[in-house]
Amino acid sequence: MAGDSAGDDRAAADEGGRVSPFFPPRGDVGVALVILAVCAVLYAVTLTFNDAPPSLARGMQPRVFPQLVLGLIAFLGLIILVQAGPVERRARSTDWRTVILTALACIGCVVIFEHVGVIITLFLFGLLLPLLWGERRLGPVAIYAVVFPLLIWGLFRGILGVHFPGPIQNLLSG
Amino acid sequence: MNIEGLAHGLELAADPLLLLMVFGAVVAGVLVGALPGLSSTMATALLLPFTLAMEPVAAIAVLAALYCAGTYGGSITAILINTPGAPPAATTAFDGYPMALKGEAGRALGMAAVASAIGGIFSVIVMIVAAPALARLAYQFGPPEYFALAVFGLSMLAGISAGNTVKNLLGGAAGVLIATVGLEITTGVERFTFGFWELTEGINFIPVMIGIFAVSELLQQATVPKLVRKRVAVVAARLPSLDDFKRCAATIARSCGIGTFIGILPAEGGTIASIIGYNEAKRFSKHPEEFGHGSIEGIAGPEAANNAATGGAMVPTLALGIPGSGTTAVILAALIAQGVRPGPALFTEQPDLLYTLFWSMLIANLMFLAVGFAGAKLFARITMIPRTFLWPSVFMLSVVGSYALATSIVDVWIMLIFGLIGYFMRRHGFSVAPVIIGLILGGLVETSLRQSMIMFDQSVLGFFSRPLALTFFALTLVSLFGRPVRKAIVRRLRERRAGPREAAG
Repeated sequence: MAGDSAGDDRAAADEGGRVSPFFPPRGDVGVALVILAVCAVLYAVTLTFNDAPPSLARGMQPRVFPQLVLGLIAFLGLIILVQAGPVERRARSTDWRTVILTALACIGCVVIFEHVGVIITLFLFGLLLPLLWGERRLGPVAIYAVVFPLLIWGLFRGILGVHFPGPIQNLLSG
Repeated sequence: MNIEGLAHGLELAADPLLLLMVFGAVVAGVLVGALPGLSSTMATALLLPFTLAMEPVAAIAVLAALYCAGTYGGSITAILINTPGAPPAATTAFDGYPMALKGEAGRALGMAAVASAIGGIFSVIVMIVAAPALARLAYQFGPPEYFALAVFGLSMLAGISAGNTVKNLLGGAAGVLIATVGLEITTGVERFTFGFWELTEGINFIPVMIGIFAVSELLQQATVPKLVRKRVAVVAARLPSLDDFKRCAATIARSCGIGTFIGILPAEGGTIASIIGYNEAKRFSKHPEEFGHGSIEGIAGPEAANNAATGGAMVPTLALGIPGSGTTAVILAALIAQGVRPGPALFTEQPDLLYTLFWSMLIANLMFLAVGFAGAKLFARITMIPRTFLWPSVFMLSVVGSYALATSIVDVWIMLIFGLIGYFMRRHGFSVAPVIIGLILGGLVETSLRQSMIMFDQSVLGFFSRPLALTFFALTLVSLFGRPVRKAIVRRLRERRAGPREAAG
């Protein structure tokens, strides 16, 4: 579909096991168990929802719909569990180190965003991620790390009038 | 069709500033479509925060133009470097790249641009006729029909190209569950807020979309090995010759119909349309043996079909408020963010918006034809942007775009969390688009179910008294079980045929 991104197909192809249009591939036991566990926890959470007065609830308390949806998700999770066969060991070319470091860089970026402001955050991210992904040309990296964050800041500040917290942007905004 | 409305829409669409914005969106769309990994869905999600500062008409016109151009843009890299910029262009690479290797890249690029524009224009014309007609029909819908329609829309997720039926449905259901976060509208009871007051108004669609489409793809890209792609000589696109056009005319016409029809089906879209368009082009071709080795029909078929799906996908989005694809789900979210209520009322309350959108999409299709011919060479060069700079830029835009929505750090965290969730979903073979479609339809599903149950005095048997709702439920069963049942029947027939042969042998 138009909405798909390239990664979807790749991820689907990454999965081992038989190819079936209807049933999940093998090796999904863990996924199914996680889904069922999350459903169980969320179902327990729905039991803590307040009851609405009958005149407002009109026969359907606020917990009912989420419980129905959780039931459906659990049912689909069970299908995955029942259909999943033994995990097939397949060599994957995933560079986990880069993935984890990228994820940590993203998390770090959001953590410091509020404290040091958008420009410094994006500068650090723009410096770090290209190097992490194997870029060795320091000059272009430095120029990129300075210019791109300023460009984004200017765009959002100038066009959308968004106020960003932080020392540098306060200085630039006057 | 309202001729007066169309004329007024043309007047609005001809505004030089709007034309300039649509042109900018077309250039950005072709570029984004051409860059491998960046899809038009992701681009519309990233652009959405910018459009909030625009008038609703301009905002939706810009996003729709980006959608049309982005779908075409994928063909450039599919032909030149055998790497489709977006999944709908995957089948274009089957014959586009072999043509490029034979020194016919210009001919392939030209046919891709022309077929895409014809497909896009055809589907917009269908949209102009079909969307108001569907909206008139939708006026007869009550809550039971809307509930059945939304369930049908969700069931159509089963057929989304990537992943499998169960996982796609599970993603859609997860989206519906996420839509329940916050205050329940009729009772005011808090659900799944976990004590965070920021969640009482529910989870904003836009950071979820940015996270799930853009950030998850960034993490996915981190795992992609550094490939050295073989490039062919980049040449300018050239107009198809009369011979090529004659040869492909029937294929283009067929693909226009296929693409528009597939696009209109809720949750289906360009990728499926292009696959069917390619297969049908091969089936009806006088030279099927050329397919896969550089057949010009192998480019015309999928390109006309995937662009025809864009206008088709806008029909249920505008007329019913049911997204026709992942990108139209983002456009639907943009409409809601602009305070516009999608659905039949849109046609009476804001006809200007609709007719300007129709014209803007038509103009966008003509613009990308021109841009495609004039700038294919340039776009091909721009796709050389190293991924080490491209993907950090995507994340920076994601962070700032999410924050800018409500100047709230909570939205940035939501974007990041859904990015991580989206990454793990993709790793385990789930398609992420169903989550967004479920999230958008979730409110409609719950509200219409609640209202239906009140109407039927809490008895589900009441649905049996509504023929239209029953029709949608029947279609739901077909969309869920049609494919496996058909396969089982075909298998059984083959076995039955093979049986006597084996016995005779």
